[in-house]
Amino acid sequence: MKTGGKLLMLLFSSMIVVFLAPSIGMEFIAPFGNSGALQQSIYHELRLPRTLTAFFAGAGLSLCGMVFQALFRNPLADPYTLGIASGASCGAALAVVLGFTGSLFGLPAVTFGAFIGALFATLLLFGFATFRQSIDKLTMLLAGVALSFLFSSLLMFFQYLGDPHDSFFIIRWLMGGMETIGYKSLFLFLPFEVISVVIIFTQLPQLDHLLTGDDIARSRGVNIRKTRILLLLATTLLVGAIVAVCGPIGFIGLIVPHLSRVLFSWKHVWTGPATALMGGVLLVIADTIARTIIAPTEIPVGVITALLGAPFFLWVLFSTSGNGKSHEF
Amino acid sequence: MPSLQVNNLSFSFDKCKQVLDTISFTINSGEQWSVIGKNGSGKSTLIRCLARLEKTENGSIAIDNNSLHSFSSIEMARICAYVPQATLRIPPNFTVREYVLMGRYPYRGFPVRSTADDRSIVGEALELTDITALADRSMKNLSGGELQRVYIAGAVVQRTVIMLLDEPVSFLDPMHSEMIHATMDRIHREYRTTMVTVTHDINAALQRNTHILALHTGKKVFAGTTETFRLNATNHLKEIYGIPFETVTGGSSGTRWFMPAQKIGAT
Repeated sequence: MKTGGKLLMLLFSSMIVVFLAPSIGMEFIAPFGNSGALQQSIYHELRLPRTLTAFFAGAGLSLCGMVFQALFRNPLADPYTLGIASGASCGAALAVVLGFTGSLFGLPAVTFGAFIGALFATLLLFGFATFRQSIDKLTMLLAGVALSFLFSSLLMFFQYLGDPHDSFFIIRWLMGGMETIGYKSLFLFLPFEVISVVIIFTQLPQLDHLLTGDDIARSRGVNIRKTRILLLLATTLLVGAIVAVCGPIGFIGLIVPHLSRVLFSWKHVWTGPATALMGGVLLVIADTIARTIIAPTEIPVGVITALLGAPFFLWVLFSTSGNGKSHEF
Repeated sequence: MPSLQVNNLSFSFDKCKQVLDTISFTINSGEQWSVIGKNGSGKSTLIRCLARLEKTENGSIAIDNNSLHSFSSIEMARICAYVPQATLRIPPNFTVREYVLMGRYPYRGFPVRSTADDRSIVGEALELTDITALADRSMKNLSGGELQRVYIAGAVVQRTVIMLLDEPVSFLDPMHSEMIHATMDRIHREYRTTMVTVTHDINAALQRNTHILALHTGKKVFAGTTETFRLNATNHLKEIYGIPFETVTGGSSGTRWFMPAQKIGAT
């Protein structure tokens, strides 16, 4: 099958990118060469976990974007534009400022805060979307903007309350990035990612049906309520877990689903895996650029994705106001 | 003999405006019903209730004495298909074949690949609705009449005993309306599907269908065979639409046609 072959090629190239990316840096280090012990340790203990984190964060955020776009039938929806990432940030920041260093149910307080924030934002948004019977694309986005404003002002308030050290930590973390990461933080969000991805993947055919409209989907036997709740749960977990570790990395969830629809298929059985792989690769590339472009200084990866994403956002926004565009829902 | 029984069905949105008021009727297997009535008389709501798309609280709807609520989502989708009005929807960006195949959802598990069975059923439905030539076109690039046939094909592959259609010919030109009617007739001939169609085309309803259900402000004003309706058609039509109708006999087939007797506002 044609799409299957393309997906296999994408899988191979993603693996190559993930193993090559850690080689690039101040010094080129071959993955399995006979370079010194120090180089090997830099590759395997610093750069590789960071690359893997970038990969899984990119994959997760892109999948969330894909789910939101289908769920709200809105091509501009992603965790960032809908204000859900801001909600997660706000919750995490609150945990930092309040000095919660302990853990709850085995989770660091920051992660837990991010979950609560993401859940709160998602519920507000879903409540808004179901309260109004039909909601047009721009209204939805404006609601997202309003949520973002709400959470940013809360964030500012928390920073103001916090001591300078906390404030700086929050500011840097808000820019998004993977630099303070070893395997430990990777394993902090990977279990949630696995659960969420499994849930999302079981609901891929149902996402196709959501694109045809609720009544058709229901008349074909899709249990819309169950699908919505499962996806709400999965995306909240995923955004919360990723944002707690990497900060709110914007726009990756917006761009990638569009790319995979154009390059692969509109059928979610294909869009899903393609989105996950491409999202992962794209964030790995963005992170590699972020840490090498003005080395030894690193720039936050969120800056790179926003530089790519904001023009893309505008392009989608202006081209969907017309009719018959290929990426329109 | 699968039949659809509606008993004292009432429905209101947000408990304020009564949309359907204690409606009862029985549809037997293989019958072709038209639901007629003024705009806002509750036709679409009724058909959405039958498709279980609206939550009904008062009265009952049953298929073969089993309440509609007793079916699971999948069971329901195997018994009853719903065809929405194409011209009011934004079509998804799937090809015609992809969309029609999605109608097999109630019979498939996690569909990565379609089975040979699915493909032959889809092929048959495309043939029946005369859209085989459009199979690989995106739904974004179809006309209203073509889209309506795609939506019908999507319902055909559900292989249901009942098909509910919401204004399939409104907003379509005479040629495309005729094609939709011919498609519906072919489906009925092929599968003996029970069909319930909301329509404003009273002449097509009276000539092609076996039964008429007429609504006025949410109340049933007529339910029975088209023959019975014809016996007193002009009175029924006046009651339903609130204006006098007249009969014109003619055309090649010598059928009786009904049309409004006067222009509103003309003296």
